[in-house]
Amino acid sequence: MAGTFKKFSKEDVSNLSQVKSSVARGIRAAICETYPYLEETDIIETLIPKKESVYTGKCGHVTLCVINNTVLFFQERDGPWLPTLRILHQYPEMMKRLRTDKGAIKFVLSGANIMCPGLTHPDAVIHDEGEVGGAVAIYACDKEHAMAVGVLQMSTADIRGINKGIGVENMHHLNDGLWKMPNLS
Amino acid sequence: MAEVEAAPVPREPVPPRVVEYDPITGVPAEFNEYLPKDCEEYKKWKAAQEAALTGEGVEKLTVKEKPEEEKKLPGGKKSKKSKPQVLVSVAQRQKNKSTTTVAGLELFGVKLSEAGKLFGKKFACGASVVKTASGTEQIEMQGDFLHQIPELLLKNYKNITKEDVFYVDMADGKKKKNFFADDEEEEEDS
Repeated sequence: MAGTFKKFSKEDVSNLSQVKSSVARGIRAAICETYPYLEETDIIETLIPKKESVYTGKCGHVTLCVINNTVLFFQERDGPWLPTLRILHQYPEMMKRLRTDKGAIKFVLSGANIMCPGLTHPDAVIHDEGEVGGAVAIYACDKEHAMAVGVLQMSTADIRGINKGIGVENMHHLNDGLWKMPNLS
Repeated sequence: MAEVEAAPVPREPVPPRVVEYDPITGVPAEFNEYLPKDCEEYKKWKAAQEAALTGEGVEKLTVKEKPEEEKKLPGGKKSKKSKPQVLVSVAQRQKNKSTTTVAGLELFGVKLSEAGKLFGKKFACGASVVKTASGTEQIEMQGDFLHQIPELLLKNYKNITKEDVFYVDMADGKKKKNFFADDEEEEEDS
């Protein structure tokens, strides 16, 4: 399931349709619950203004939240709503951060999941704690900007303790299909 | 970033950060070198890097090349780009058949349509003029005439000398001159 947006283009998005305001409110609420920072700072109003119509598109098992023809958030099956990296770059404080060592970068940018050793490495930093299913932003040692967003497959405590297996599932990374196509026309 | 709701606690508007993405790759420049090597963006970035590095070196190279070129063209014309040479090559076709391609004749003032006809007549084969991907034209003959062509060229066209005819030999590239009559044929992808 890694590299959800490996091959992704406008044609892959089916039924891009406007949603009812009740559904839009639901999405907004879900996003606010996952990212209280957006609500506290009212950024959510900038991203998803009440007056704007919200569109949804589907791409396989992924639902896209589209406003003004721009993909802002996406959700795989019933997982958490995740922001696109472009949005995350604009508001880096919205998400919990994990920082891998340098060696992991090229794998992450090819769509690989983040394995525990990449996060327990002496150069790696677990900035914020999290539980299974939590949304996290993936950074790299010595780099300023996030390179990926993912979902925790193990709690940060377990990542440290067990140090084996997949720590975070890589849902979206720099230069993947979604990154290259932020706008649908 | 106007606040729409009347909130109990006045919130400070947080402006979005402006992130600079590399003009070539589209990602933050700090990640350029880590992109997968087979992706377009990485290749473009790598090419730009190399161009920047060799920008000065290239000028030195071209200065050296010029005197060499002049030596190789005693009676030939001055070429604009590459040395004028006639290149003869053989490619395999179905069954036991092959095709011989002669390229570069037009640089010697030879009319390709006439030459094509001449070849066809002399060797009793089909000969035609075909265009290559780059736009230049070649003569393609049905059959393998690797060894007969050079002789014919020298005989019929006074301005083509032994020095100017090359043929493709074995592993890659243009090698031997014509006055070695060798029996090596190679496979070339046409």
